[in-house]
Amino acid sequence: MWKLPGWGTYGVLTAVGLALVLSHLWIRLQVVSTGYALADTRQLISALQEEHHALTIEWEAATAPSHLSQLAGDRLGLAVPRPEQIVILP
Amino acid sequence: MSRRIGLVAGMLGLGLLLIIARLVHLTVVQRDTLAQRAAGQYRHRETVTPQRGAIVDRNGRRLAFSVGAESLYVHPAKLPADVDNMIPVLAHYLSLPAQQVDAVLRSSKPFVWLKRGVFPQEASQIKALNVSGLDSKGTQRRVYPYRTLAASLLGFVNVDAQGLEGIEKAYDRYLLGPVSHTLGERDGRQRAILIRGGAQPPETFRVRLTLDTTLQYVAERELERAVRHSRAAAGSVIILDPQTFAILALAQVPTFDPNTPGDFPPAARRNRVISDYYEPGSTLKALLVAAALDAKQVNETDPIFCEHGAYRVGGHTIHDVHPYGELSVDGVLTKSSNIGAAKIGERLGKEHYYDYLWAFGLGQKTSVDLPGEISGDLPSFQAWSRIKLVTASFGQGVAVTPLQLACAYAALANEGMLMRPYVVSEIVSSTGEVVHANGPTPIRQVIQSETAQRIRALLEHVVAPGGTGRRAHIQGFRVAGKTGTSQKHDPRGGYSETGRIASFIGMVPAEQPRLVILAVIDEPKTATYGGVVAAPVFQAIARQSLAYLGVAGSAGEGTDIQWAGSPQFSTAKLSTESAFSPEAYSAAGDDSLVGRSEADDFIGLSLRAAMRKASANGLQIVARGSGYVTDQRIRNKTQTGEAVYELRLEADE
Repeated sequence: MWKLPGWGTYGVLTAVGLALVLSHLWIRLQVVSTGYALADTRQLISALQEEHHALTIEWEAATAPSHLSQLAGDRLGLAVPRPEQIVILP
Repeated sequence: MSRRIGLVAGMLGLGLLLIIARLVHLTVVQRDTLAQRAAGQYRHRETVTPQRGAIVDRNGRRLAFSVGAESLYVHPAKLPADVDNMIPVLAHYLSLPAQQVDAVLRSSKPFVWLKRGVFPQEASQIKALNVSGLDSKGTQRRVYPYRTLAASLLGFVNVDAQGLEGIEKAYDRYLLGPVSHTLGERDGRQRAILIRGGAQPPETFRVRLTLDTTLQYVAERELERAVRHSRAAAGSVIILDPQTFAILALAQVPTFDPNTPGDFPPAARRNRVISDYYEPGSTLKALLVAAALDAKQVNETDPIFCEHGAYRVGGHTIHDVHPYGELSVDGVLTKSSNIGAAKIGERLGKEHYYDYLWAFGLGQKTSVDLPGEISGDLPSFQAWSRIKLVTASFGQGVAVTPLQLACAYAALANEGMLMRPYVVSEIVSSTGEVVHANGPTPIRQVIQSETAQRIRALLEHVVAPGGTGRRAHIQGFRVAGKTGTSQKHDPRGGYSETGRIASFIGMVPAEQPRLVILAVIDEPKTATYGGVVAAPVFQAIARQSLAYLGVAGSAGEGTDIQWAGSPQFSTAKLSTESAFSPEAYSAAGDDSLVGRSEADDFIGLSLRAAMRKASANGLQIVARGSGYVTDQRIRNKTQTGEAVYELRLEADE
């Protein structure tokens, strides 16, 4: 004969249900918090990429042949060598 | 009492039923609509346009790449009342005319772009002003760090990062990359919470060119100097590797800055090397003689009577610059005799000549991987009259693009084998996978290998003392080349009286060519001969290029280039005799690269022009010879210590 469960069973079921709800809430909060962290990291990556690009532009401009040629001529008095000044290493 | 309770209970029950019905309606009937509306409030789908791929030279130097940028826009209706005060500030930060900013802010449209592709630093300055109705949208901006370097080759993009010219256009589908989407959520303050999907940056491709930035710079510098000095209208230079037909440099004047293409006229943005044609003049004689040798119609030593400078063909008279009697075929090339070339052409016959010119690639596109190439003009031999054959023999009446001519000479340098020129060596994905590769592509064997060697030997005589191309000679190297001076078409018909195109094309080292270099100067004003105006450009570019590439000098040419470890090498000699200073270099007379300023550069000028320039700059000159200044030296000084410039003048062609 079927018998109604006791208060203990209801208590256990309620505790399990509560634990599931709290777990879900905790996971959801973690998802949101990780989502913010991901978004922040993405922004940081973007900012670092921009900085890298800015430095790349600076680097390319600083090492451009025209710039180096001007610096070599103006500051160091250098010029294209004559044939007898060229030594080719074997 | 119980009735009242029943009434209240009934009303509450009815209310509950209404609520339940409404809930059912919202969650069942309107479920999809409301779910979509809710998702629209906290979820967002973003289209991610990948950053356009970079274009790099053969050594990996970035010639073009994209960076993140902001596009500023305004909603004029939402701007504050005192926005007029912001106009000078906005104009200053954005480097725009105040009138333009004013027009944008006063626009009657609901949405207007203020400036697109603004660097993030500039955009943050604008955002700091906190002007309501002014906002920005993330975008990208194309950067060409070397500005005008190789501009006509690289091309440029529009504000939507789509290629419009050059490599940018030809390889647009690779450079653009695939568009992807991201799905995310936003909180009440519109902060991004989570990005789902497409978080990884989309794959883009990198285009590697055969171009060498240093050679390109050398070519552009020397070309610009020559065009400026000769007061020419334009000019172009090609450096080609004849063993692979890879384009190492492609320079032109005028040029433009692809960072701001709108600031330049279309004429400056056009790639003249493939989209302009010209009559090549005497540079075509090398192809004529190569054809005649290959067809066994002439030998190098065959005598050609050059009619003492005037040759009647039908109702026309052909002239040489200097009258000659009898010249060998070799001499016809060396002295660049039009009459001699005409007679070789007549001996070869129009059908054979046309077939060879076509086989050399004239009259057809080279199929270089650049947009906008034209075919030149090589009329069918069936339409050639006798005078047409004669003029075509010395390069008039036939039109070529500079690239076509460079390829034809590269075939001579490559043992007679014509190949397809190319400028992109490979396209690499972000994972390093090569998705597209170009390499040497043979087209046809135009002439026999032995003939190619014979014509190179003849072209060496052109650059030797007494030849028209002697100013292309490079100490320590065997150089083979040919000068060209052609008349331009007059828009009113016939040929122009004054418009000339001076050119020189050569290969070095002649025994095993590493470089083929073509220099074309359009409408020079100081001197018009290719040997005077264009040959020095070739010489300057070739000399620096050979040193840069570390090419050893030719045997038996008295080369001064030393090989470390060789018996002749002496560090002591190097440190004492070769000690360098600009003053010593200039005083030694070799002042083509240093010590010569615009004010004391007389090369290419006539005597009258040189005297005028010297007078204007307070310089003293001593002139020897006639024609145009081909060499200048500072030989001695006056008692007051002033320099005296010794100028050597020579006539040409």
